[in-house]
Amino acid sequence: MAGTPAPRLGLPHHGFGVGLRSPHFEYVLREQPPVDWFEVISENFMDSQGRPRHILRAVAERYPVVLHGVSLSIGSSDPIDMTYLARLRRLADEVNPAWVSDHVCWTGVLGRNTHDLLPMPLTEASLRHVVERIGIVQDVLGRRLVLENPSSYVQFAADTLSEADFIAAMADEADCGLLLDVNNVYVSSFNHGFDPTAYIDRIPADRVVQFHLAGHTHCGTHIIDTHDGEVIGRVWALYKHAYQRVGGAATLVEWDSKIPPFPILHAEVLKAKAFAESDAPVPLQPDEDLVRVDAGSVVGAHPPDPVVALLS
Amino acid sequence: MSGSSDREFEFDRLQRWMQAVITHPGGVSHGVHSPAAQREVAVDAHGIEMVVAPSATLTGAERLAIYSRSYYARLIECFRATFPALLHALGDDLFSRFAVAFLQAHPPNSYTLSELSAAFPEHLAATRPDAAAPTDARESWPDFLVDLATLERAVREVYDGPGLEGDTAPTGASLDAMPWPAFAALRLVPSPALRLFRFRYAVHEYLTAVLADTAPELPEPHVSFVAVVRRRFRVQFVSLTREQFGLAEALDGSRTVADAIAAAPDMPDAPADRDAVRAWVTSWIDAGVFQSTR
Repeated sequence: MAGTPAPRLGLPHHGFGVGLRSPHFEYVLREQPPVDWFEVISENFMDSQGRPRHILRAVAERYPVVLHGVSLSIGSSDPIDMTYLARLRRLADEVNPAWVSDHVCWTGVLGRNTHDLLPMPLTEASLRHVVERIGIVQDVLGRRLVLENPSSYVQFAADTLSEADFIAAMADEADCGLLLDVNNVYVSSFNHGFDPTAYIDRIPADRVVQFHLAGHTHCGTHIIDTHDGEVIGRVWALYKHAYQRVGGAATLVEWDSKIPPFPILHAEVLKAKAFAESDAPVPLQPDEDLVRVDAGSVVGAHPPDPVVALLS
Repeated sequence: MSGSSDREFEFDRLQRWMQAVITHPGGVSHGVHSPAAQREVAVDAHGIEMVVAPSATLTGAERLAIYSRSYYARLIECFRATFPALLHALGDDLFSRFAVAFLQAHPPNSYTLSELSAAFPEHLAATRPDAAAPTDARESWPDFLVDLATLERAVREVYDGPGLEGDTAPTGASLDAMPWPAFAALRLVPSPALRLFRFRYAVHEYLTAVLADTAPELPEPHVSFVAVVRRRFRVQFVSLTREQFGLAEALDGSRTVADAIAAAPDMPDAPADRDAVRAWVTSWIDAGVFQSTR
């Protein structure tokens, strides 16, 4: 696997990055670790007039940054929240991110926000709805939107499309980029019983501008996308396949719960680089995805900083 | 669309139904029978799989329950992060009950989780069991909970709100040598981060003790005054006496120091106390209480 991958949709391949989380703020500013780029949760910074915004400005001076949102709710049947969009635009204009991303999902209706990434009903009508809204969002942001496949735990009886078909058609018709979360593909493939490799092969390779990787929790009857540990071998193997098929794209490791010291997180993304750049197969352990907890695990979230981190 | 044999539910109806089901505090089995869910898709618990397909290992209801469990768990986790001292005071079970009751009354409607608990202190005050009783007939422990929640919420708002960083703020030393008439003629503009509180309990001491892992006992009532400020992006508490609190309130940017002294209750007015007043003001300036002088 030689050579530097070409830009996709005009967006750069920034290399191998990690999600910037508040426990690592001081370390990152002090040590300036050799990470290629950082991704930040847009909503944690867009209204901040305090330390989070200050940190983001400082990080953006030193590293490429991507804004990754969780509340765009591109698939909601509610009207688009134009106030939210204006604030996202303002943050993007200030930070000048490599790109702005969110999820193929809805977070609430009737004015509510569940703060969860809820699965789309996969129908022609919902596809039309999402495609139209992506166009509006891209116009308001003045930049191409990149959308991520979510992990999911239900499928609607009314679904007429597979998720991969839905996302492929959405990307082509809306002319948007894709963030292929390989762990989410793995999680959903177990939960819904589809072939994860076939899913990846269905995604239009030329629209994938970024990969996500994360750990998950196997509950026996289902897998939850908890972002609380190392990436397992089967997900690495899928990633390697996807990276080769796509021809390389920026890659990021997310770790949102039981967040380890920064060097451990950094080591995880260096594994991604090693797998991406090696021709050797990923070693698999037969017991690597053992059931770890009961069914009470919480779907990934980004809670606010603990108060103890706010006081001097 | 009430025909349970019809699988062609519109996606907007499916979204409203799913939200009603997974956010119901009684869980999926109750949520599916709620009026909000029934308005959208009139299926009972046995008919859930007309809407949500089962997997090889889980029923439709069990799959929905993953979202249902996560909804409250995720939001309560945010409450825990924002109100650690209230959590310590109440214990996990009672704290969670209070949070769920609040979330039922105030479902999250903002794109940011930082707004999630903005109305929680007011909610606690409005729902205290003796809310309808005359003030002098009320028990005091709800005062403690309301004051503590108010302070913890203020810490988060001050942390992420506007502050003095980046501005050239005055220093106390710059005012030390100023002749009293010039000092008394100053107008001190409060920092945008400043919050002044009169509490019925010393909740800032309680919060500090909780964060220091000293497991404090519930305190006795004790009127306390505190300024919540921010300096170099960190939140700080400045304990005040009653007299200091009165003066700090009066120094609202519209009055001179002299006028604020006159307006504040219980202030010393003897010339010998001028040094004390100046010392208060200069220490507050150094703590980040004031944005500028005019």
